[in-house]
Amino acid sequence: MIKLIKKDFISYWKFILIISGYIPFLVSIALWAMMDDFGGIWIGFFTTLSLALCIFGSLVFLINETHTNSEILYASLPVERSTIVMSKYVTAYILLCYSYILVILSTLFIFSVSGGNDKAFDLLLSIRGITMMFGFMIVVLSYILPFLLIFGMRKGAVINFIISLLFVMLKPVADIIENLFKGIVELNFSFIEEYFQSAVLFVTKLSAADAYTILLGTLVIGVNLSMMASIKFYSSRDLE
Amino acid sequence: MNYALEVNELSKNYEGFRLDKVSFALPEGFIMGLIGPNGAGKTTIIKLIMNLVMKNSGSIKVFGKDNREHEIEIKERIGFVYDNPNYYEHLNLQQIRNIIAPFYKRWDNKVFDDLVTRFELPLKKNLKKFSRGMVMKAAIAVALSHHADFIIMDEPTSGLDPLFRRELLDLLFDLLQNEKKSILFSTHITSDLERVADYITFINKGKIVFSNTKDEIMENHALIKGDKNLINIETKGYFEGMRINEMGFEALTSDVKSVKKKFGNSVIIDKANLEDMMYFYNQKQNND
Repeated sequence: MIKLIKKDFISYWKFILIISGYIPFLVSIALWAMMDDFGGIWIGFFTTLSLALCIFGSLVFLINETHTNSEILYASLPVERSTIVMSKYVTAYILLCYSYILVILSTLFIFSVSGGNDKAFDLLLSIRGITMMFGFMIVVLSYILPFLLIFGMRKGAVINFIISLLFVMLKPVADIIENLFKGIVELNFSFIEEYFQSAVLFVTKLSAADAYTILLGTLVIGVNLSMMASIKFYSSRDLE
Repeated sequence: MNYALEVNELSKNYEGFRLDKVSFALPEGFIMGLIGPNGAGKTTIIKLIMNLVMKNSGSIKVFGKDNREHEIEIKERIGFVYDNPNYYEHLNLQQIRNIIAPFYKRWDNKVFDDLVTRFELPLKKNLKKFSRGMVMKAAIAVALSHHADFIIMDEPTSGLDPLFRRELLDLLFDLLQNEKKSILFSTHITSDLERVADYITFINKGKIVFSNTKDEIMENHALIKGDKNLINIETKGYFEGMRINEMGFEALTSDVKSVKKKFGNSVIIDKANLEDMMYFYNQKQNND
């Protein structure tokens, strides 16, 4: 597996150089733009941008593999497909860590140079904030990767996009459906929102130790399930 | 007899195409040409041997071992040249070597360097600046550098001009003639094989038309030319495919002896080459 991970880094060293430049650059631009107006929606924007940068940064190399069609090249080498899948996970997680470290370092650097800070960023830059964000990204990656590996990069990317869109649009879509059937059937999807709210409330009330235990447990189970699904389906996938 | 490859009742279904119970075998140390028109199923067979696509039924044995159960061991012994080698174009040959070499226990840098020198390939030039011929030479150098016992080549000469194709084939078979390697060579350019192949397997529309030694195939097949009045329902049965025009008929037979016995000196019997065979068998299948 190390050979496969090594080949990813040999093949994509230019890409790693590029993300090493563009992540700090975009983080700096975002921070500079919100210097006078920290808090509220800007923190949300900054968090989303950071997450997107990291996940994007760790996945682009996989999508690049499709353009070169090198999947076939590696599948024809004396290496098991399960090893190929595991190496993709490890490479993606390494790049995720690397991207996230770049985001944190860039933020700290901008603050130290500009002398600015905001309490709203304290949580984001605390150990708890970093762990939560990192955990969240691993979960996201764990659901994105199987679709990419099972359906191929192009179809997988479309499926991931639709699922992510559905997830973000869950509330408005539920409202539209409710209104559409108003008078015909009484639909009530508010339980979904209540469920999420109670889950968030539950986590915020937990002690740090419990929160970390739950996070770790979820990550281990999620990553394992994701990897098992990817291995099972990728092993029997036709590589065209 | 030991076999490098045994394909038995192999089937694979796609939408609009079916590889239908294909069977053939290649004894160790021989060269087999896998011929057929575009879309006949040659690449599908090679992808099935390499486990790139999954079979629906049948079996594939390489050196007597199931290609799924002993995948790693088998792939160690296979040198694979794909029609489109899929190397990273932004890397140079040295970087490609550094990526691929660690996967093979028997990788030999000296062999690789010798081949690169012989093929006059630049090590430090990005592959995107390589011509198609250079890429194919690079792929052959990679495939031959881990002392593979079985070389599988899928259309390695397609898209190359005739002069370069000849040069590439001469180089390749010159390299291999002193070694006991088995080779499966897929192509639709049959002239590439007539000089070098020991066995020919002809596939058309997902079905094996014939698989035999080249000498037997050449001996049994012939082009028959004669007056079109000789053709009737009974005599049509002697031919695998036929072309009739105002001047007469031209047909392929796979049973020269019977044709000689039936028609005697009333027909002209010419040697048939593989291209003739492909043409007439394809025509016959279309008519069926």
